[in-house]
Amino acid sequence: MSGDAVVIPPVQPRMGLLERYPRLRQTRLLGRKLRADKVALSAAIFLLVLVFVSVFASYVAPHDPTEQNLMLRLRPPAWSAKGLPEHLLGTDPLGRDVLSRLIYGSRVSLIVGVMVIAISGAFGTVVGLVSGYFGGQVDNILMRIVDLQTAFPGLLVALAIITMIGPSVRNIIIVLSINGWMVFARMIRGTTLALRSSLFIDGARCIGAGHSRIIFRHMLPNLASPLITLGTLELARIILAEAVLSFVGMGIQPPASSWGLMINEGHAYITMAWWLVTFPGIAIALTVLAVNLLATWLRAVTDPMQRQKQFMPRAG
Amino acid sequence: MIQFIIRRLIYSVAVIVGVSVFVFVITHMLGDPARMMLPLESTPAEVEAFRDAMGFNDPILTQFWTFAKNAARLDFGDSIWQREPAMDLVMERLPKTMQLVAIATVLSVVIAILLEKLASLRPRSLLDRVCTVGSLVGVSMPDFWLGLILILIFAVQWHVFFTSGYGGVRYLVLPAITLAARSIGQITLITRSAMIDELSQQYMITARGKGLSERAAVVNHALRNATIPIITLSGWQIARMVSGLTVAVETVFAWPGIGLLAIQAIQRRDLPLIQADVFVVALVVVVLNLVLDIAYGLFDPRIRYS
Repeated sequence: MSGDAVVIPPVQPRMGLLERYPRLRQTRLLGRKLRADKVALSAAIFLLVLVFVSVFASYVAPHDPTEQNLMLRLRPPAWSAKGLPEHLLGTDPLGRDVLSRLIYGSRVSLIVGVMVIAISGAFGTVVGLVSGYFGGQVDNILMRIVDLQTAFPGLLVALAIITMIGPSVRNIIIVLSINGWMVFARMIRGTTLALRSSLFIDGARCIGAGHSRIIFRHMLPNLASPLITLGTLELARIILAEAVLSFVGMGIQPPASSWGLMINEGHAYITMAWWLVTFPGIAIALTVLAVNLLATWLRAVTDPMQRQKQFMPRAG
Repeated sequence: MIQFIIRRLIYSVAVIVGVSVFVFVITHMLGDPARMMLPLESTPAEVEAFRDAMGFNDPILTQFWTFAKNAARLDFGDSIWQREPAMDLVMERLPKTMQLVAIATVLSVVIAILLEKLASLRPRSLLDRVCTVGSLVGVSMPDFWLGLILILIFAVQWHVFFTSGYGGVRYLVLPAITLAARSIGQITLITRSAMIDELSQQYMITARGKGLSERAAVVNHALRNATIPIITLSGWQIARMVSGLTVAVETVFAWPGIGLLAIQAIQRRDLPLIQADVFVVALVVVVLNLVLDIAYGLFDPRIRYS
């Protein structure tokens, strides 16, 4: 009975959203991998909540962060004997609510962190691409500049510049960007050097693509994942650097609040009010830890060489 | 080898010159140094007289020439705050910072290697996990905050150590631990990564195959090979401590080193002192890097020729 073989009609390929946008599929795959890793997932959720809280600070915060009440100054957290339920994490020497100041302070850390990554990352990437792509004398000069600036005492130079141009959020962003672009330049240069000799770049050159087309259309997309990983790692470093600047009094100025500044203000009261320095420090540490965990995970997912390093091989 | 050293020397001099130019640009061309140093209520005539006296009215190139000539003789003028040569003040404070850095370095290398030795003998054990999580936390904490927490516990609560100041062991312990904490975390993480590489090498199979105990194989073979990245990292950590980490830690503990001096100079807007401080720190970092590079060149011939 083989005469009437069932003819299977050719299936019309239906273009789904995922087929049309291959990047979307990658993103979804990444999301699935994130859900599998509990540590990285909780770090990501923590950071999302942090972003939400800082964007909607005026709705989330229980009090106005600058509202003073000298009758209620230096109250300990709510769970201590002298604590008040409406001031969950206590009050500072001016009677301001510590929790509300923490919530508003998260804005500074995030804004400074993201802006510095954007500026120093963009500048460093362009320098790295130019240096790695053109090579020769251009590469030599650019990399000497990178080396030179890497040898500078970064924090001290940053402090000196701030002294001259005055402390403000904008100036902190400028100073930390001046300080941070070299890492990006060096990493991107290395990757570009490797890419330059690959076949698809030769192909692009053969069909007559110009330098800028090759650099921005063909090379840059391939640098995305190392860039994201390095950017995340740098974010952790920059949040800490902002905290140090604010702590030594060269960062955010009162009455605005930032986590580093809160520790600075609490420093003088350390013998009588432990909560003033403890909570902002925990906020910084948790944020930086979450960013670090996410960066480690990103590197493990995007770089197969790193994946096996997550676990020690068993002995014997 | 001689050629390598000469090349590194030229490079170091270039860095020093670069830092000096940078310091000059920052202090003379961003903003007005005269307004900066004089009290706010000084009259325009006073400001003008001060400018003349300090040479701020000269053409910028003349100013730079004077600055460069003096910098070459390590002379940055008198500190406005202390009315003494700024360089002397910095040199007086330098040993105290180096003392702190030296102890913190020894502490971090010893503790990190000990932890990693125990952890890599028992991979995936509780200790291994605790070490990894602990070092991640250590890397994520702001060090000045750790210092304050240590003060809260050991000085305010238990009175074991002093909160701040300069002196014997009871002053030294807390700032040294604070300074070491981040390096311990970083060195442990890197050692772990290096150990994973080494443990999967062929020679480990040979070592086990010839009947060495696991302990001997790990400690005598793998750990010994993993020390190269550890040395690199700790050299780099020393440079990082000198060039910035000490600033916040010395401020917390009122440790009279060059980091605290930098903050004091900045708060008093004492430009000569700021210049001298930044210059000396840069010099120390450069010399440190030079010594490290030459040491590598001696140990590893591959580096010499690259």
